[in-house]
Amino acid sequence: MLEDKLLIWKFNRGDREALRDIYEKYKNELVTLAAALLTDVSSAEDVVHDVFVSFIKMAEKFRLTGSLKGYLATCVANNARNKNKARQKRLSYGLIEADVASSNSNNPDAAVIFGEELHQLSLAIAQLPYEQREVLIMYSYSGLKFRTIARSLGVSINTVQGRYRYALHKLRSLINSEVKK
Amino acid sequence: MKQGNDIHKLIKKLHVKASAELDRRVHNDISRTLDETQKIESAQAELCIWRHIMKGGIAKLAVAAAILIAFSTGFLSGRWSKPARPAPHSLDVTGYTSAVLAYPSAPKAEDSFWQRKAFAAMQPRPYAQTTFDKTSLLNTYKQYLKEKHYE
Repeated sequence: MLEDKLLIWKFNRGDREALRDIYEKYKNELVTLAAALLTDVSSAEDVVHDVFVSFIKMAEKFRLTGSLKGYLATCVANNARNKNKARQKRLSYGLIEADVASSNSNNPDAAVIFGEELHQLSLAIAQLPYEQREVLIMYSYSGLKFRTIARSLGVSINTVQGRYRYALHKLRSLINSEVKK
Repeated sequence: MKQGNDIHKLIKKLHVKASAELDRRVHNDISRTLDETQKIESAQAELCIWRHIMKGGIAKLAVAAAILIAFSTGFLSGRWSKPARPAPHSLDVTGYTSAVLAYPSAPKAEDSFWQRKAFAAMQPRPYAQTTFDKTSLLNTYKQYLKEKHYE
């Protein structure tokens, strides 16, 4: 937290390397978050790239009130949501055939994103509806509070907690069914 | 609940490494954006300096004082300053100059309102002579006698 404030302070003072330090510090976490949300590494990298480009442009005016990690995670989640919506729209219009494979929940790529060790988990996460997956990942992986997630999504805190419970329940049943097989 | 905690732990274990391609793209963008920002900042530097100067109260006061001094100097020299006395070439010019000097606020231009006014004042006014009373007639007569006596 203190390090984040120091990085932002250095950047606002005109230190260019501070921005690179921020990127280097959080790049893996942000790419993981985006990959978990989109189940696609290249799209995840695009999202992280877009987030950093936006952050660079407005970083001079940026004043850190919470945690920098939470802020960047929320930005990535918002960007990933937009990307997912755009992808769904294109799919519904049948514009892109290639994206059908990546949107499929049983996409084998989704399973290999996080390695063989987490094979079952990544498959199960990929099968969750996007809204539930988003809440689960933002809460469990990024450590954001339900209140923050609710504000970011523009829904009530009860809705967020409900989505989280459903996601957990479904994930548990999916993992158990995989284990039973 | 235990399974929920296990799932939490498993999710925390998720990890994807950012590719070198992403690193290159982001670092290039950082460099490019910062270069552009620097160019814009250098272009706006002069404006910023002026804005910084003009933000100060003393600078505003100084500018206001300078404007006031310039205005008052121009106003005094234009309206109340005495025109340079021209060299008298003839008797007419002397009379003319004295008539002009009787109006200190008269401008220097020859065809000005004040000069025309001065010429008009110098012209004989016949109607004034017809309004003599007894005292003035007596005084005029005394004056006539004096002049005649000196002659």
